[in-house]
Amino acid sequence: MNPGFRILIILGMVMLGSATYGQSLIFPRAIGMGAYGSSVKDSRAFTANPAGLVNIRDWDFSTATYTGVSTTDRGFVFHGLTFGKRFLDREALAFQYAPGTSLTLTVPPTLSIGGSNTPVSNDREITYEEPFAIGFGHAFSGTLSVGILGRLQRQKVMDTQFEIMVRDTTVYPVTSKVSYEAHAWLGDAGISWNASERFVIAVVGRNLIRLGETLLPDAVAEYRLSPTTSVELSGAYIASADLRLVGGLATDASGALGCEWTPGYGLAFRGAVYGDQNETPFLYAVGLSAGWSYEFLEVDASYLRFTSQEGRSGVINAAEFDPRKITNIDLNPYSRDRISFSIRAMFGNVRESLARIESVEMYSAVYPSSFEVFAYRPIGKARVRNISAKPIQARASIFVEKFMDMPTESQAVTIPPGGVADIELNAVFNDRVKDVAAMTIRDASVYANATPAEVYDDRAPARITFRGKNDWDGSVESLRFFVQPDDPDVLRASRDMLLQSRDAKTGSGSEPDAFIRARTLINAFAGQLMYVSDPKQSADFVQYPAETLRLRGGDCDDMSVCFASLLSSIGISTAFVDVVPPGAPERSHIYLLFDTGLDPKFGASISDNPKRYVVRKNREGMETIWIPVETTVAARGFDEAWTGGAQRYFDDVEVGLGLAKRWVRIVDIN
Amino acid sequence: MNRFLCSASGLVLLLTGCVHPAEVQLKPEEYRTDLEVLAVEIPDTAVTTSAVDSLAILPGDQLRFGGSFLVNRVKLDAGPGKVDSFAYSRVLVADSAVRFGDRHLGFSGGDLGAVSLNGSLMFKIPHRVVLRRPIVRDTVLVRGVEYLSNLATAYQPNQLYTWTALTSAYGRFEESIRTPDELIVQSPLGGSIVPRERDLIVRWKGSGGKLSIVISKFDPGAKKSSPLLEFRSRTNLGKAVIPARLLRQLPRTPYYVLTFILSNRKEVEPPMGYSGKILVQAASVYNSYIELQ
Amino acid sequence: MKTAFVLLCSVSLVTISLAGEIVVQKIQGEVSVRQGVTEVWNRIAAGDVLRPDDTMKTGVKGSAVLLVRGESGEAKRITLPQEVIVDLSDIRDLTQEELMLKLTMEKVRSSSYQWKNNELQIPRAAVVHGGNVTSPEGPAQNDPAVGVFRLNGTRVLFENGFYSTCALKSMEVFRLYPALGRKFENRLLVAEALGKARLRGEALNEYGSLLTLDGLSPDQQDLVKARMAELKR
Repeated sequence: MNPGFRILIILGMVMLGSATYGQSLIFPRAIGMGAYGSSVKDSRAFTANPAGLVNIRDWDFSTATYTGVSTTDRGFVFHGLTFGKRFLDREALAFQYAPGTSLTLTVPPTLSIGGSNTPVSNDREITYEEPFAIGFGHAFSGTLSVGILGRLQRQKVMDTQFEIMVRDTTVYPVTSKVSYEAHAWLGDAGISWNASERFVIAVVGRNLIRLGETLLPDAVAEYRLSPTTSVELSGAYIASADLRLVGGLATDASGALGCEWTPGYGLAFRGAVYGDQNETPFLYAVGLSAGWSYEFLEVDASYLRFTSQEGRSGVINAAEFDPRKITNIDLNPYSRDRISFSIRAMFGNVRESLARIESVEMYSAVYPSSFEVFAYRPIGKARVRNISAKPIQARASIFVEKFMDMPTESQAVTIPPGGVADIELNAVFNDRVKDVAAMTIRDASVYANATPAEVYDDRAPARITFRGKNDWDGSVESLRFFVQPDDPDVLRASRDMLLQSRDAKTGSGSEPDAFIRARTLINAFAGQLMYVSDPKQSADFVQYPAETLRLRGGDCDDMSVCFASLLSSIGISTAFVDVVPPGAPERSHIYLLFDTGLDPKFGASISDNPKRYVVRKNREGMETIWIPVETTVAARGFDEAWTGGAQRYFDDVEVGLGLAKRWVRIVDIN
Repeated sequence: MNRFLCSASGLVLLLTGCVHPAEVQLKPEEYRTDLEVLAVEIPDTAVTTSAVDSLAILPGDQLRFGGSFLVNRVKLDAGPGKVDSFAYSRVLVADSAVRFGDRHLGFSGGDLGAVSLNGSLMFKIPHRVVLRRPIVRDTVLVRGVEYLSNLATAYQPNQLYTWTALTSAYGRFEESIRTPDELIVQSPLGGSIVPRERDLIVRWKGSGGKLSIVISKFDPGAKKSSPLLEFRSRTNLGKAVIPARLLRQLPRTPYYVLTFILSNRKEVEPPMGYSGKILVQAASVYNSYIELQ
Repeated sequence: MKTAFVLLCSVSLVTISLAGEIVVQKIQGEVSVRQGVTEVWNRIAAGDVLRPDDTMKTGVKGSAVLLVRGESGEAKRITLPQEVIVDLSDIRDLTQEELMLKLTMEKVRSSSYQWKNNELQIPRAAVVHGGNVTSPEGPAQNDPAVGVFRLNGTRVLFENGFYSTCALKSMEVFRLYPALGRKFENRLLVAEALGKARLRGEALNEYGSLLTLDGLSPDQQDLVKARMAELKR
């Protein structure tokens, strides 16, 4: 245990202070635990620390009732009910109506009107109550939350007045009642911090502000309550999965120590002792509580017993009454033993979360040209933690509006209790991605599911960058995705060209069919497509072949993509040759190789000079003759393109050993 | 189904707790709850009845009873050096009412022959009824007789006094009563200045009878008191509290007299030939003249 | 213009790693040169300066003497006998590492076809493979004589100490002229060149595959085994 926390616990055991602990005693769970500020987890007793409201899952409703244990107690008193609601992911709001939080003091009649039939009424009735409270909590992160609380405190004094009336021949006394009222909205604020997996620390400031305060008039000033500002510190130590120890103390105050044991089957047992330096004896109260929870329902009962009954019998000496001792209307020197019951119910998205997303990381942007890869290649990963006590099969899914028709779910990953796993996310985008003109960043949602239920366990936001459809990340592998042999414009162009020159066969006649077709095609487009050298401006912008055909030109990448598409559309296998000269990456270049399909021993049918062609394996694994084509000079015809390509290839690969030294790469397109 | 069960049980909880929270009683000192305050009848101011401070009978009672046999010990305390006391016995039996116009002024005292108190003959003196009229000087009417004894030395507390009347017409009539203890008032003493905004704690010593306190406005010039309220002590604890809130309601004149009456009383049938009840009273009276501020 | 610029760049790359200049000192008989990737053979004369991307051919009864100047300025005289074809780019030394890389490339030539699981297959039009020939005569096979000339050229490389390029070029020739690759003495040359290039493991592999050749005479086998034993020492 961290030494700092050890000291804190010891301090908690050393009692200081002078007033009663600011405890909310409406709900048995709070009564049974004593220092409740670090254990608020739903709408029950949220006034102990509004920061705990963020633990509400959706709708939370609780109600409580109590009865005294003495013979004079007449039955169950409705203590209060609370409503809480979680909203906006990190906020929660709760409202409490507690007519049972009231203390009424009566001063019996000191003078009675003799001879009259009207019943004698109390000289004075003083009522203190806190009927309403409203709280708000906000979670900054998974471990830190803050909350604010407003409590309406009312004081009423009903006073009996005397009047001496003279009527006809009689002087007679008459009593009348006068009521005085005072109220104030008291503001508290609280913080709850999960310092570690085992420690929770909570700090609550009480009566920090007073709004709309009115005071009882001077005539009854002796009954004025004076709420003073104080700070309560409480901590919880989660000793194990079923044992929670809590302790707390306040600045002007005393404290409490308690524990909660949850052995299983939804049961919970709690016990607490309360201490106050101003009380005798020092440990002035003991609270015991038991509870049972089942699905969305939780019922609890508690017994609060004061160790000394002195002054708690319901009758006290008027001269000893001091309203300054009343710092908490539920728990003060005049409170009596009580038995309480409560019911709590959750509605809405109430299933306890089994998994939590700790972080989401997106690996890369989505290039519309290659958006389909993310169906297989992960687009990112979600780090998911199993926050339940059993192993789970967790799945992560991601969804971005407009570009996906529905969330794409990952494979199931088994996570042991408390464990963490990185789940890779795939994304199946729809065709709308292809229309992205310029880079946009879209918000996406990542969900974690631990059960097959539709409701997810946790949701985290993510951002996905969609590049423009012509955006290119500069790698040859990605360039392949711009090659579209099936594009209607490409097919039309290549087929038209082939049909036109079906009968025009040039060459020696012994050349392979693929070679002839390629030559015909390249010659046909010579003059139609212009090479525009503008490497820096459009280094990461690639035109789709249809665009190049329409614009009738492009840069080195555009031309390579266009010719690769055209050649592929007429059934010729192609490959990119990617050259990045060492030490001169700005002079990187791409040109094409196309497969003649010819066995190397027939190389002579292509050319006598073996430097003009490349022998490499095709996708069937057979070594065939490939022709290098420099697409940037294709505008001048096939021969120039061939010569240029061959020369480059020879210089880069044969002489410069570029392939062996890996600054030349050949990437097959189809 | 489960949600319904939950809502139902929630409602049940709500409904079972319909009782109000138990109260805490701030119990005052015992003597604070002892007094009963009663209305006081003021008869027509034209009639001057004998003052409460000496008769120890409230004006209303004076007119209601058909007569009275009194043995009273009266002390008047108006401050240090202004203490007076006397004791007497008076017998008056109403013969007929004295009226002036439609106002009941008093009674005409019946002649009972010779009346003796503990064997001593009482003086038979004329009974005077005073008629007050505005502007004009009071007129004193003499109607009938009353019997008076000065008991300055003979009065003893805790003593049985017996009147014996030998009426000429109706024969013998006898009545007895025991005097209570000597009433000693410890607070407020005569001459005190009593603040209105504080509860007035009154203390006395004396038992053997019922205690009541009459508070009357006092006119020091005319030496007349007008009773306002009567307080009765239920249990005669020797202490009681007149709350400040009541003092504040009393008229703003400063001078008041608190008449403490420790009395034994009984009502008896009148002697033959007379009507109305007869009040037989033995009282120890202490008048404390105070100033209310 | 653009081509020239491109070529110039390539040339400048080439000269850095290759011989400084090659001068034809002496010529006898039919000697021709084919520049770069062109198709045409041109006759040359003594005194011509040749480029490293040129290819030299000596005909029947032809010969030439070349003076090759290295980077550091030292000169080497190389004699080309008759009936050889030599790529001047092969007149250079490769480091052992470069040779190993090239040899590995030879073995891993299908690396570009390794598809990763998450890579996409691009839909393609129907591809027609293989030697789909429309000409009735069939494709022209490479002239075996040319192959022999080229192998003679690799022998020249061997004799002049350029073992790495000798081995590599021989393997290339076998690809284009499979028949030549089945000849014992041709394959032996490769094994010897690898041995001389101090790639013992590769040489042993090559000797080993020699033993699997058809029609080996016992003497040839013994020779191979002896060479292997020598290497293993």
